[in-house]
Amino acid sequence: MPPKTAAPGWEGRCAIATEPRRVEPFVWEVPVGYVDGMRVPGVVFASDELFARALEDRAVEQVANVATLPGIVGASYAMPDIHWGYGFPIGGVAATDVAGGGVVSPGGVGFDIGCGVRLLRSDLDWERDARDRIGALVHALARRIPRGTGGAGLLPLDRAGVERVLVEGVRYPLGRGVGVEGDAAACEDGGTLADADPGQVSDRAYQRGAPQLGSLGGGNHFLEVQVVDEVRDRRAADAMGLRLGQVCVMLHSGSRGVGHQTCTDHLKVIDRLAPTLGIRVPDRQLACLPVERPEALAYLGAMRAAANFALANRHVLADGVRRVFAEVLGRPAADLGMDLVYDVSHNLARLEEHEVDGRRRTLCVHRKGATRALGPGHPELPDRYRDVGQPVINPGSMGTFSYVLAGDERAETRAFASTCHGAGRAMSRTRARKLMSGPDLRRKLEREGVVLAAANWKLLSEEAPYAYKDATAVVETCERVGLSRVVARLRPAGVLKG
Amino acid sequence: MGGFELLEHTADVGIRARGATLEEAFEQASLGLAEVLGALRPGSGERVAVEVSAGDPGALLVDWLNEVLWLHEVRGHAAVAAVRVERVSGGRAAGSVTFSSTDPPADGTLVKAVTYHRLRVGRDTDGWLAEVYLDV
Repeated sequence: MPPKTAAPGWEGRCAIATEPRRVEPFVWEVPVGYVDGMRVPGVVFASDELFARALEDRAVEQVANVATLPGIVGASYAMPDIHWGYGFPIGGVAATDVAGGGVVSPGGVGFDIGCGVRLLRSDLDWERDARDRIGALVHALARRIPRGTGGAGLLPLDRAGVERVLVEGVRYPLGRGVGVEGDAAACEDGGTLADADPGQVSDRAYQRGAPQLGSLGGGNHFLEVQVVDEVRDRRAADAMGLRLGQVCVMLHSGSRGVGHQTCTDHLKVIDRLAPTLGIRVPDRQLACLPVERPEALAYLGAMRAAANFALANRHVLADGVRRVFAEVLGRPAADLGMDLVYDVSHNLARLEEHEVDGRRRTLCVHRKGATRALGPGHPELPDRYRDVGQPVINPGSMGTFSYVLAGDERAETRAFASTCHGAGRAMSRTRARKLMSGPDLRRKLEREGVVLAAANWKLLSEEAPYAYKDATAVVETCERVGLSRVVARLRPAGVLKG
Repeated sequence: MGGFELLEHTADVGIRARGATLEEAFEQASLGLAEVLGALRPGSGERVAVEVSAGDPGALLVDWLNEVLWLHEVRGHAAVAAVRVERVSGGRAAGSVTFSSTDPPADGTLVKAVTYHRLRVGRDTDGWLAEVYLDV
């Protein structure tokens, strides 16, 4: 996109100075002036190829738009899996200084509040225990794990149950005997975000959420049986209980209708109020309010409640996975070693302490399609990960490698301790569907040894590997710039699509 | 002559709707949403009155479509048989959506919400134009 404006009398110089430029290997700066009203520069972590795609995709323009948010500090960051989103780019990280009038923007979290990924390890060896049973496992998972538009969730709730999930996160299903105690400790925030306010969640959101706890949803949500294919950081892999040839299960889901409705409800209020306070944004989906406004606090309380629903949703799904494995393999679930490695969210705004210009400040850090990544020694890490850094679960596209990463302490100064969230889309859904039919894609993947079950064959190829960026290039870029380290690579063996 | 087309987006999908009147543009945008949901089944069924209020035509369109989406979801992903927008004025949009009694579609896209991203509602030489993006 060409620069939109230049200050009077500076046309020639601005035209050059407002072009994005590489400031160090794999780091691109989008200068103030690229779009009107930028308060800080944009910074995109990307290889030449990934950056070129982001430029074509309008995502760089979105990085610049985010840089106009009141109170933004540092830069408007984007991870290497950046692509065109709605308002914020996917892969965007933006922090605002709360005491300095910094804002929260519901669009910086998105509609799928608390959407994230969790990884279960196991004591199962692919060759010895699972290779011959993968078809049976995938088909049993397909029968038992609710997904797409069909079927109620695994743990339907009444209104009081929804309210408890909104406050307690994974603690509520744990109290009902779903899952094991160790699961909570292996989640960000111990599986429960504090300061959730279920009173700010609408009746409609309650109504949408009640039947949906323990359901995968659609779109890019999935569940995969994977095999650890390569271990690159032995010490970190040991801490995570990962070893070569081992069977793992990765699942990607969010807060379902609770989050969608919560974002919709609060966005309406904020979109209407912000202009009356003189807040102008280049895209209405960036509508925002100073964090200290009551309407902003109401959103944050509701957002945390919806994020608790997302955590509980993945918790209930993971329990369902363990039960299916136990049944198909004819062994008690407790003997399979299917412990939770970690659960990360990639759509969230959090109040965090960071150092800016030599001073500790409370920032509202938005991560939209980006993951928090705490480096070794961070006090919020569980003991077992204190020395190696936070596990970051990074799904690839369907049928390609996924990665387990670990936080790098350099990410704190690079991008408020953030890293990538997955491969990142590279192609529209329509185009992806035109390139190959669902059944053809299924045959191709099955020839490559991946067993597939889809809720919706017509839409399957929207999620084809060719519609995504190369996850390997994404995680290696993050490693080069010090956002995270690659710990292990996982290859898919069985895929369940939403 | 009104109509709608779907717009490409890397992760999501947009709708461009046209109408001789603003009401018709709203109707066409609603049919576009139903098309994305895989739930467009023109015909008869149960008619549900819909009314929304908002500060401007763009926000009205977002609210209207979110209302259609909500009704579709709580009715078990019911197919949309017809959409009638009677009036869009004075910060209100009023009309009805008719939900088909046929089985819900098996191959629809789950739409999370209607966004304000690149939202446009206005007039050009061909009549009324509405553009809106969905989060899928």
